[in-house]
Amino acid sequence: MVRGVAAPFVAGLAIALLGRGRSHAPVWLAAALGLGLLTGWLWLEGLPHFPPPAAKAKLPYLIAAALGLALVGESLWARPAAPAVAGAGAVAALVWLAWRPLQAGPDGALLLRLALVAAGTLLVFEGTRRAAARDGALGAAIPLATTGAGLGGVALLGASATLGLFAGSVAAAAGGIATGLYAAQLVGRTTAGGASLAWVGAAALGGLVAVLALFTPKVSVAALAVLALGPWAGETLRGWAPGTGAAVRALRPVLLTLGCALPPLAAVGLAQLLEG
Amino acid sequence: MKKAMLRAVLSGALMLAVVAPASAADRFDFDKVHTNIVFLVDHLGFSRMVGQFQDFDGHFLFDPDQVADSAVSVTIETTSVDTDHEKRDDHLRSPDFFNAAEFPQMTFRSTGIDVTGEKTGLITGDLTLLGVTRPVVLDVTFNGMGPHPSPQMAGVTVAGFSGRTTLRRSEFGMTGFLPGLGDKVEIWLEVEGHHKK
Repeated sequence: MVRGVAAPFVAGLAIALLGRGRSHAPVWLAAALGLGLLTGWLWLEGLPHFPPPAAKAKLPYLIAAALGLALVGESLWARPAAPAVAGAGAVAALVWLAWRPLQAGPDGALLLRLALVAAGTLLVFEGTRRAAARDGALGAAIPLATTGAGLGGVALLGASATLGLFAGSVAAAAGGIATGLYAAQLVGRTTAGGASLAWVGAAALGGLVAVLALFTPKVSVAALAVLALGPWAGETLRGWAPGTGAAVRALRPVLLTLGCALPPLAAVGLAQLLEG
Repeated sequence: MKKAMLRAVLSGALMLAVVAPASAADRFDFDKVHTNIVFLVDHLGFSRMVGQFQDFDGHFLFDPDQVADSAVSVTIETTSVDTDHEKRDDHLRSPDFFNAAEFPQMTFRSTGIDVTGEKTGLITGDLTLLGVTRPVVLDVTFNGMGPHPSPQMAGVTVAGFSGRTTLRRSEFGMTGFLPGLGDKVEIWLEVEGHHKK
C-alpha cells in the first residue's frame, strides 16, 4: 500500500526535476501524473480487468484516456474552449461510469449526483487551469495535491479504503511534481503552463469522486462538494504575496498550498462529523 | 386443410412430449430461518474472519430417485453481508469488496450434478459476482428428507443439504486488500428447503 503512494510521488518528483523550465515540461508533467497514477493502481489493485466489469475498474482506463488527450498538447487545454471540451469529456466519462444504474432506469437522485459530480469536476479543472495560467505548472500541481489528499480522507471516512488510497496516489503524484517544481523555482527555474496537468488531475479526481458518490453509500456527498472549492480558495491567500522577487517565489507557493488546503480540511472535518 | 392442420398440431404436441423432461423433481423453497450462507476468509494469516448473508432467496428441484436431474438457484442480496461489526460491514459493501450499490445481487445457477456417493455429490454451476460469471463446484452432502415434524407444518416436506466450496475472490475482480485479506474464500452452505404439497 505504501508503494501505491510512494511510486507516484517519486515519478512526479523525478519528472518535475528533469523537465524543469523546459518548453515541453507541462506535457511531461501530465504524463508523469497519469503514469504515476497507473503505477499506483497496479500496486494497489493489480492489473486492470478487461473489459472492466465495475465502475471502479474503469478508473485506470479513464486515466489512460485522459493521459492520451493530454499528450495531444498543452495548447489544447490552455485554449478558452478547454472547459467546453472538458465538460463534454466529463459527461461522456460519467455516463460510462454510471452505465449500470443508468441502464437500470435513472432516478432523480442519481441524475442529481451525476450533475453535482460533473459540476465539481469542471470546477476543479477550471480552478486548477487558472492557477496554472497564473503560477505555471506549480500552480496546477498544488491544488491537485491538496484536493487529492482531502479526497483520500473523505473516502477513508466513507468506508472505501482502496479508493482513499488511490486518492492518496493522486495527492502523492501531484505532491511529487509540486515538490520538484518548487525546488526548481527556488533557484529561478519556473515551468510555465500546466493546463494539461490540470486536465489529467481533474479527470482522475472526478472519476474517483464519481465512483464514491454513486457507489459508496456511506460517503458524505456534502464533503465531496466542499472539495471542489480547493483550487479556488488558494487564490485568496496567494494574493498576500505580491511581487516577483526571490522571497515571493518562495512564499507564494506556500500560501497557495495553505489556501488550497482549507476546503479539503473542511471537507474531512465535515465527513468526520457526518459519517465518522 | 383441416386434416393437415390437425396433423401439424398433433405432431407438434408429440414432439413437445418427447423433448420436455419427464422430471418428477419437487421444488423446495429455501427455509431462510434454517438456511445459512457463510464465508470464511483469512485475516493476515492469524485467523479466519467469518461472515454471512442475511438476505437471500432460492430454491432447488430435487428428486431422490433422479438426483442428477436436480437443480439449484440462489440469489443473494450483497447489502445483507453481516460480520457482526457494523463498520466492517459498511466497508464490505463498498466498491473495495462487494460493491453492493452497483452490484446488489450475486447469483448461483446450477448447470450439472455428479453423484459421487450415496449421500454426496458435486454441483457445478455459474456464480455471478461483481458482474463476473465463473463456474464453481459445490461439494454437497444430502442430510435427509422427510415430513416436517411440527404440527403447524403439516403437509410440508423438508430436505436438507450441506455444501462447501472454495473460490478465489480475485477471479471475480474483488482485489481489495490482497494479500493481507486472503484471496481464497471458503463458503459453507447449510440449507433447508420446504416443499408443500
